[in-house]
Amino acid sequence: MTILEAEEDEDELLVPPRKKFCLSLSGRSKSLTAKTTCQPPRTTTRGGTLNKYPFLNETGESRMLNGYRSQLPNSQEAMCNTVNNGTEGLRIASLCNLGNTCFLNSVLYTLRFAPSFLHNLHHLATDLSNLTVKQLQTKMKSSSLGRTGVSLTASGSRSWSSKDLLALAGPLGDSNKPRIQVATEKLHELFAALKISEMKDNGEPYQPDAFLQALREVNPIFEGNQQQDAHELLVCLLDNIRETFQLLVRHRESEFGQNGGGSDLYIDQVNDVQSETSSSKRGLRKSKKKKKFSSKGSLNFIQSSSNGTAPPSKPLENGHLDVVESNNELAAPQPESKKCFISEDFEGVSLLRTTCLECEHVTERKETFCDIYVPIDIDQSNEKEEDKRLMDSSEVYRRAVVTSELLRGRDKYWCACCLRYNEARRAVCFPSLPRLLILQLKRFSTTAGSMEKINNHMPTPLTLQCFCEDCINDIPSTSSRRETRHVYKLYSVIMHQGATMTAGHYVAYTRLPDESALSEYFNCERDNKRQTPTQNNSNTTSDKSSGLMKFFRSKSNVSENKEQLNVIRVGCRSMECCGIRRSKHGGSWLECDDEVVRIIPLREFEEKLAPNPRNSATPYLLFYVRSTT
Amino acid sequence: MAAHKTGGQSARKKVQVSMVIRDEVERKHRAGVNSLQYDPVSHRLYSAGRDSIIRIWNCKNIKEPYIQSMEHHTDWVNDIVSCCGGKNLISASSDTTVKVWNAHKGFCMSTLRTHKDYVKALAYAKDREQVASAGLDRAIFLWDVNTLTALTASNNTVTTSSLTGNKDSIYSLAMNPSGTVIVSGSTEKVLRVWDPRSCAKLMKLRGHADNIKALVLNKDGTQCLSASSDGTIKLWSLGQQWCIQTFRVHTEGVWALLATDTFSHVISGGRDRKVIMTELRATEKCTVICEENAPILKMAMTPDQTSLWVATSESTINNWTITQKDWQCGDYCEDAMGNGGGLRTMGPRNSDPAQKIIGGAAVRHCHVLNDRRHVLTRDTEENVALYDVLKAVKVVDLGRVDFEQEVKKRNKTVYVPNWFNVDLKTGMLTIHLGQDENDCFSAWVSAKETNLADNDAVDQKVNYGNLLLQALLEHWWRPLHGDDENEGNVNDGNGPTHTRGGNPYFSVPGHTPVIFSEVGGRTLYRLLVRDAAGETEGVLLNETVPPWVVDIVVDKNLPKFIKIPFYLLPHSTSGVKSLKKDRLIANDFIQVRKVAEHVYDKVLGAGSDSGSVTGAGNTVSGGSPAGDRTNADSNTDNTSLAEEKVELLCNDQVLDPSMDLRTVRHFIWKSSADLTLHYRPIK
Repeated sequence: MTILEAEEDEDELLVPPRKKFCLSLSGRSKSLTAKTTCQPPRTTTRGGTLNKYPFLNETGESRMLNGYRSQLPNSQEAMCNTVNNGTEGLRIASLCNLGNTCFLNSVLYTLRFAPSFLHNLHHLATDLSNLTVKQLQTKMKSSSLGRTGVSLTASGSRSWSSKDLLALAGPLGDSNKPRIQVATEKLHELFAALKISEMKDNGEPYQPDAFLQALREVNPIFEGNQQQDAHELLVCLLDNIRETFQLLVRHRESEFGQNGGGSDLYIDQVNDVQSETSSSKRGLRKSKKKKKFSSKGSLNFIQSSSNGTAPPSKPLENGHLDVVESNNELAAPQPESKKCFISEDFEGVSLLRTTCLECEHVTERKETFCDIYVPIDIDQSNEKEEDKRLMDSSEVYRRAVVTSELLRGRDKYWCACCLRYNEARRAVCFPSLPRLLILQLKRFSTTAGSMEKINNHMPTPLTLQCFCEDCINDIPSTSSRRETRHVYKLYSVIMHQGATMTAGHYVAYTRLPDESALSEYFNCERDNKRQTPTQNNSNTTSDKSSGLMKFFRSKSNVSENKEQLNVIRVGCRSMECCGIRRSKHGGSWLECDDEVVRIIPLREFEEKLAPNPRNSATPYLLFYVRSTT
Repeated sequence: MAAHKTGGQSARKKVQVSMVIRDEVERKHRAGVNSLQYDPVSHRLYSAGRDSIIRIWNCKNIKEPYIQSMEHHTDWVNDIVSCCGGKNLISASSDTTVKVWNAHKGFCMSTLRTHKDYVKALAYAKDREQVASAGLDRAIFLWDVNTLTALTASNNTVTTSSLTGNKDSIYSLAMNPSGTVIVSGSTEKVLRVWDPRSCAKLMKLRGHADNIKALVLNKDGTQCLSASSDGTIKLWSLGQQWCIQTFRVHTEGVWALLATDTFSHVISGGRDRKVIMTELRATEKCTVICEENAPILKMAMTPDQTSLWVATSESTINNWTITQKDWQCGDYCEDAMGNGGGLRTMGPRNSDPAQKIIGGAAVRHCHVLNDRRHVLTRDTEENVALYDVLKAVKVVDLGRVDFEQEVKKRNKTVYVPNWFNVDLKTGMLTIHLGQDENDCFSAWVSAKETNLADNDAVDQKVNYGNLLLQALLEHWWRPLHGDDENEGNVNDGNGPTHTRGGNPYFSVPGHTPVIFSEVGGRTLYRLLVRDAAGETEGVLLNETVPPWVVDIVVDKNLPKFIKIPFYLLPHSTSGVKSLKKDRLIANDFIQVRKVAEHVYDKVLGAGSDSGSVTGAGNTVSGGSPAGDRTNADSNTDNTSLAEEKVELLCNDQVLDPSMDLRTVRHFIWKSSADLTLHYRPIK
């Protein structure tokens, strides 16, 4: 929230830090009043439906929603300095508990430090904001209200369409935006705000109320100040982002159709859009055909395209200039990945293989997943105990997840070959695991009717041997010490403390990204690609000082400012907007307990993960990132 | 302890009634053949079919080999053994029973019901006349054959010893002739060995990576051969408790084994459809005897060792020649020596079988037509046929026509609720009644429209499930009710043949098997329709027939009507003022013309305050006569009058007066919400 005001001030009025000061007031009620009094239009950004101002009338608003893009250059400079000078260590912004919202905070902390997540989210938000601007133009031009909206809903054949309809049916449709889009934007704003607050001296805990509100608009289950399942929230969040992305893709498609017959004035931009959308169409059609479950074909496509856009893991060695050069070379618009980063990073494929024991016919069913549900072994027989001692902790997970069971007795399998019920073997394996692997420990069971928590210890390996099909087939099963092709490194754990699901507390433990994680920002070309034509466009149009172009005014200001920056800076601006600062603490572990965020030594962290019968805090969600060996 | 009698009706499990629609004599196997036994004395071949029938073939008259069928099982027969010098046959089936047969005369002597799941395997110790049975319930039972054959209706208990310890479903079993060793193979992937004399566990043998599907023991029980779904055959030394050798001659699971008495050769077959002979003392020496069209399930050697009968998952049983050269494994095999890949490329010794016992076609696909009475089927030979489930007969063979097109052609715009389930596991059309939530009595139809009654007869509503159950138990003797006689006279125009039961419209073929079984479980009793009149059968039926059937067939209670609630409103174009929205209830088979009549009589006829007449919950009158009760439709004139005066609409579509309400709901309303009909007067 606060960041929006700050940006507004800086951008238009160039107000000195005094204003900022007032915005980061402490105390919830206080800051709220401050906000409302300071800036009347603020209400529009808070809580989606409250927004009564149509886009067309308020120039500022479109920018408010993507406020991150208008951060003052000199403030960025300043913060760069602080980073450089930051000897006292690290300041990590913290999040207020808004009343039973530790489930929210723990997930937000985790996502913030999830590799590449912020960066990707940033670009999604940027694209969304560009879209919003374009949408405005289209509206002015065609003067047919809600045409984009109509095409949007018309193209929506999936579940999200209902949400769109809801959003569109709302009171003058929260600036005509689908609620999921608002939620995604709010999420990004929240991270940007955290970044800002880390820049400042007084690190007051941030209140994620605007985001929470937007989230509740989309997912009413989070209404009320109930305790919620962090996992449910996580799934919800990822879904929202994915859907927003799809929305964006569709939007671009429909836009293409509308801009096709546009006036000469926009020819530059149209070209830009054309190339983009044609590629997007190709990608989308492909993925549509294959549908989301059989992701093989589309996955290949995505991979090739992403290879084109971002050369993977270019070593960073003061290489700013290098990257600039390569940027110039890659001036031509590149096909953009049309698969959401959520799908790319978080989704894996599981395979259910059923073999009839009579005819030995095999049926296979593939499913995409974004987390794996790990049952906790509560069977404490002696034999198993012995087994366990021999097993390393990765093996525990492999056995729990890569399973094989017999369908027998009353649960026989109806075999389509034998045309009868037969015994069958049903095995689960993983042809591909996602880069960011989420394991959910089955701590909450409904066995006794009520939700009960299983507190049994499960090891939390800092390094998890991969259990995808290739890795398992690679190594002989007899050797106890297994070396797999991939390994997974723990980057976050969400611990649950308490006896039941509805009474407890969540604390996130996450690892600060180290230096290597920053390279992706510098190697990123997503900004340049779209930035350059936009700059030209806005410059020329502002010269013409067309009536329409007043909507671009602020934008052109920004880009002009940026132009100077581009000389010094390369990569994308995501880093400055919402990225995690570089620090000498990279790689160390943070304990994120609502308002309190502190660095803990690895030893202390490991102690927390170790079995402790007195402690009811147990790991609940484990987050791993893949690294190839 | 095993009781030789019809299992008492379990109080917990629901009992279903099934019937098989088939020819009176089924001379050919309809589906795969699971097991074979060759009787060297009479040169008869016994084959255990997946069509639930064991057939006896005369191998000396291969032109007309069929001798007899042994029918009593109700599911796949999984294994058979011939014992007592060929006098008796013992069979194991997926109907969970083991049966003892008189092999010469071909009748079932007794049924053993100790198993709780499919019985998959049998083993026979010739010297001791002992048989073991094992199955998916993990249990192994040992039977003394002489005791089994001595069982009578009065002396019907037999003691058995059971071998325990198996942790998983048993798929294979073997015993040596002297009955000193018994070995079982299961999904546990280990071989378990017992001494059947003391029932003592001897050992476990590990090594296979998958289910073990076939086992052979040598004469003295010192060596064992095992075939597994992992594609290997293993030779074990029981004395040393280890695997002597592993044979990888098949590319897929190995399902059948046959070894010479001396354990010099093993013949194996399996999913890769190849029959391969391997010399045990020289692994490299193996011969592909033949390649079948389907996975191999069982093999039987003729006593002179010159040919092999091979049973597959298809219905034809082939005889393949084995030459002296094959036994000696001459130079042919030596080609394959040295490189393991040689075997894969090796062609089979025989390209065509020497003899064939031709099998029939199995029904593989079926489609229940909209009238819920006729079923279209397609078999393994692509022939399409039409069956009438109600009368338990095949109506017509349509030959090789397009199945989907035929379905489309024969489906009418009529909706009748489901009242039976179809099962094709035996390759014959099997109909289950009362299997699940599908109410067997849900289908009420007009006897006239379904051509059960003559056109000039009074229109009656009949219930399909009711009629079929009555027909299936037509000959069952039961206490005569007082009104039986009268009823028969009133309804039955065909004469007094149905005095004991049945229904007034039709009978089902007397050879139709009727099966009472627990839903999803064990078979309780099987008999033919015509046999129900017998005294023993009557007694067993009294024990077995479930109450829900007795209620219909004996007590002659009529099943309940199925009601449809609906709203009746004036159409917007009718000009009739909208009254308050009344919810009406009517039988689901009520025709639209009856509703029109109701509108004409009660709504329009009574003038403006008709709302009070058609108060909420009113039942539309007329059209309710049903079943055996006569209820003449007196107001026919009125109906035709009403039809001309009032038309009814649903979703703005004018309804055919002869359509019934459930059809309107299913094809026009298409919603789970209460049906809404609109009426408008015809000017």
